[in-house]
Amino acid sequence: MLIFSQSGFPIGTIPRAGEPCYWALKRSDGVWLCEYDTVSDVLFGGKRQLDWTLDIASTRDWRRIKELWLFCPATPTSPAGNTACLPITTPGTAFQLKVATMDSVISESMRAVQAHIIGRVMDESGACECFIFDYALQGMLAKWTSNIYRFGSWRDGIAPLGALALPVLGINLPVITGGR
Amino acid sequence: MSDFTTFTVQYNTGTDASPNWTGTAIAPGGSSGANEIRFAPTGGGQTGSTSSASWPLATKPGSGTSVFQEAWAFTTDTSGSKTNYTGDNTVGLVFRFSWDNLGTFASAPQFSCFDSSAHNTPSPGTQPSIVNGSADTSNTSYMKANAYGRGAAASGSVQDTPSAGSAGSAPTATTGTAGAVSPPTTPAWLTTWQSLQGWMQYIQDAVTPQATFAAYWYFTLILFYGANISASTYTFVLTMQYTYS
Repeated sequence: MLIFSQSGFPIGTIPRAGEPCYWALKRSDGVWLCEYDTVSDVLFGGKRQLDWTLDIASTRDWRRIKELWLFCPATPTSPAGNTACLPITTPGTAFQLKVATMDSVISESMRAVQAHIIGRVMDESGACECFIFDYALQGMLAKWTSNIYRFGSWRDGIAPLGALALPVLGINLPVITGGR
Repeated sequence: MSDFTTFTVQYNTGTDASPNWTGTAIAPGGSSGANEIRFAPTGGGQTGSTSSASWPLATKPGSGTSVFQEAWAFTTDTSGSKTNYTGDNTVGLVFRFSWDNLGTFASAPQFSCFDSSAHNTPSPGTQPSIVNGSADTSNTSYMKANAYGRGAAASGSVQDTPSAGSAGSAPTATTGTAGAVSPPTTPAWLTTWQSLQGWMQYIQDAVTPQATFAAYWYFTLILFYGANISASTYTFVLTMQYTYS
């Protein structure tokens, strides 16, 4: 059965080799949203792609996330691509972000996306489990565990991320602890 | 897709008192001597039209360490400008990161130096390498850095911009702190400079800068060399790691 996002993007499409990953989510009302959906934005001056912070974290749609998916491109070690899914049973625990680098000054000025991460917070300590697609490794790390207050590094060449910006990512832990 | 459309390093071709940042964003790509910063001792004969292949050599001291007193920015192999870099802590307005208002940081950004954009973990003390250092630097990096404040505060649309003047206490060749150090949010320069040795010794912002707010994060550098550095032509990268949602 084909599933389409709110804007008509076929959910589950595997990016071709060299293309970026994309996230998708299923809301509690059955609607699918994905990174390639478009929304009208007066401040932007027209249509733009769906933005996790502006359109999920800031609209309280984070309360309605039931499943968070990551679709990753084909690589030499995974010719069919990779797909990851995190069921979200507690509202406010899902998050996604990208890690990038900008090299400059002495030589080789360039920018690169290093990784795309989806995750969910497991408990009030901030412990989280994640799927990480690493563009340098050309593969996915499955159920890598860390903590949203001191997010670590999974390989050489990546610095520990430190504390994640919870409002930016739509993480609302009081829901877990019953404070809201 | 809230990545930044523009995320660059800019250099000051003016002075501390009268900075000039116009048109100084380092463009992508760095082949054939273009879009790069070159360091040199004073009096080496380098000019704004000296090609990369003809860039003057620096002679190692017989003992101890020296600093490069000049840094030149080149947009093409033979078209460059001298920056406000002096090789000491007497000036602060030398370099700055610049990001636009289209991106949203998801954590505090951090920066350091690597031998290449492969971002391999340094091997302290192993030559030839700038970032590995040697006995000259107590195995810290030959590259030292200081940064001012947060760039932008976490909220309130606050830009941290330093006044003209000195940046922290003068570092030595052995200055360096394991792990990350963060400039004060007051805002202020780091009192103690940091060695830029991959993700072993680096600078991390104290906050996650405000979302969709264009800002500059000011920093300055000092590049040492010494008796125990291997004779070589060195290229290396300054790397900013950041996250976005």
